[in-house]
Amino acid sequence: MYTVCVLIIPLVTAAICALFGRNAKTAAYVAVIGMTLSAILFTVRWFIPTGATAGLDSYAAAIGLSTGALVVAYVVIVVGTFITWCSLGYIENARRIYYPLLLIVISTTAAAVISTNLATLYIFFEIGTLSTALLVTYRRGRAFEAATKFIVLNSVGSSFTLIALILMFINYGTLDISSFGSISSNAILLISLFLFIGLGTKIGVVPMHSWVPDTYSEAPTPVSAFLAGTVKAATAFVLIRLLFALHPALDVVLLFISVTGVLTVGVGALMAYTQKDLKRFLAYSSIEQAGVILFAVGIGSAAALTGGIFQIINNMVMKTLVFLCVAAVIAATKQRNTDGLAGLVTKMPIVAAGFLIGALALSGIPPLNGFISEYLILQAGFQKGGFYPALSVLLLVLTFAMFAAYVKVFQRVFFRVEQVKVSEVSYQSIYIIIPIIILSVLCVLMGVFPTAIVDQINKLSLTILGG
Amino acid sequence: METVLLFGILWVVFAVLIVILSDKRATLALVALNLTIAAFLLIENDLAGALAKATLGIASPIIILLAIARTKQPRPRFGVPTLILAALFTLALSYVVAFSVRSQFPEARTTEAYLLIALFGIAFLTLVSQTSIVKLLLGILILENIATLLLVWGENTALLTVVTEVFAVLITFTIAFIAVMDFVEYDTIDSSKLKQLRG
Repeated sequence: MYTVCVLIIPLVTAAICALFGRNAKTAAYVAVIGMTLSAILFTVRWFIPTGATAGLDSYAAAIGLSTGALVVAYVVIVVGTFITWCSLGYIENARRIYYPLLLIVISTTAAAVISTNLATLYIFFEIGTLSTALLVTYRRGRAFEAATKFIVLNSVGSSFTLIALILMFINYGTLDISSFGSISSNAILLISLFLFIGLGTKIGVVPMHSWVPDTYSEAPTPVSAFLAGTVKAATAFVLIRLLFALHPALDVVLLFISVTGVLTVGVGALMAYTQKDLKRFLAYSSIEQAGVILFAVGIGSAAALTGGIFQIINNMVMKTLVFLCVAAVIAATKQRNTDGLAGLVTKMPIVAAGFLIGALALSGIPPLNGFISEYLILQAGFQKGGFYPALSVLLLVLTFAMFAAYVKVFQRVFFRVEQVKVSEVSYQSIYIIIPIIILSVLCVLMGVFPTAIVDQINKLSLTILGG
Repeated sequence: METVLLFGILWVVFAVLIVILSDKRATLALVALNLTIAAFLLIENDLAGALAKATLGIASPIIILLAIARTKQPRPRFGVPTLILAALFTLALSYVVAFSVRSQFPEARTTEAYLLIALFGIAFLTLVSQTSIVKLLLGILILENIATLLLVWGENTALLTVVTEVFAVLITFTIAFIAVMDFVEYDTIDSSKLKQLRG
């Protein structure tokens, strides 16, 4: 019931923002209060013991969900709260529709993660897609093109997903994912491919990724941050749950997913290296991250899924962190081209430190959280045998290419004081800086003390694999 | 089987017309496609699904027609003879694909499966051969119709039919809304021209 409340609070807040939000500032504060309340309630309900059996497990069991799914939903709500704060600092006089749509996207993403019913899953996804499309149009002009590309490609993806869900329903005779039994390998092959193409389009897998750079660069930066960090990762989590609900999972499909994952990492990393627009750079880097997650999905072992789901949670934290740093830079300098930025480390030291931590974490550098998840994935790849060790080596090399891209951008934006004039900084909002500090600390803590969360994810991986 | 074949031929013909005809007439072909699917659902004893399809299935074409009325139809990228050839080629290719994977189909639904794969091919032809946003939308709606037709293969699917149709209408509304906003700003809904205008 509390989970419903936690999900309903954002929707009620969205309604309040829509009804009484003529004053942009009031709407923004209402949204921030609503989301912060959601996050606090979720945290309190999670950590404070209630009843005879206390804590995380009893909470999840009480509403018939796995604890791991709640972990992911919790991160969605917390990151969503930071995105709302950032919006307050980033967008002055937001149009009336902005906050209601943003809260709907946050809420439906969290709901999709914990949904165990195919019909509600589809409903949450579609509401999220439609709301996102309208949010992308926020800046008008070129944003219409990005929104059109987004909704056309994502609607095609939705159609594939819908067909996969219907085929699942026809074959299993139930909408409840947890009640699935065994079906023929022919049906599994067909469903897996439709599912992969459908959800893969939403994740931005190569070659269905063309909407990602346009959408992320044209949407308001807090929205891009949520899409790249959270929506994409949450969709990958849903793909894992649905794919491994099909028994038995087919090796040929898993290998195909892994190969596509490595290809996605390659395209994302190489394209990111050539970008000068900060938001397009992060868009390609998010494509690279999606590839890493897919590679883990394709390995298919419990250890790989643990690494993959940890990477999903980390992606929500790390990617949001770097996007918020970019939001801070854009808000302060009105510039997003790396050629026009230089020497910001002296004027924005917290943002520079946040970006550095996020970039290192995304590149899998120890002792940050990204290192732990990528290490788990690569280890599982080497253990699997067959083509997977070779793919793991290739993934490692490509990850270094992405690291090089981050170093290049960091050097250009925050250092490079000798060559060009240091950028002027006009404004730094506390509503962007506070989330940057918290997310940076999380990146370090989740890297240094990963055991508690990895144990929870490990339980979930075994549940997903039917163990 | 004869009924399925008759309806299936009609679906494929209407889908091909969506590719070939101008935006406005293609929308009327979509109305016909939706109505034949509603009639088929009725024959399959899915009264609720048929009603949902007949009522909500009309909403999408109406929204598209309203959008067309507020915009100018772009010049098609390809001429009608080229599109007819492309449609015939797509159909032939679809049947080759369907024949090569026929073991995947449920035995009782083989004819439908062939026709649905043909519709799949036509939907993709619509999506890749057109620059009009409205035509792209029509391509997506053909895909949604394939999902509706698949629902007939299961039992107690009326709720899912309604959900599918509601979202088809919402997707139509959103894309049509963006197209009209685009037209207000750039005076065209031709995606290739829009790309040039935006630079």
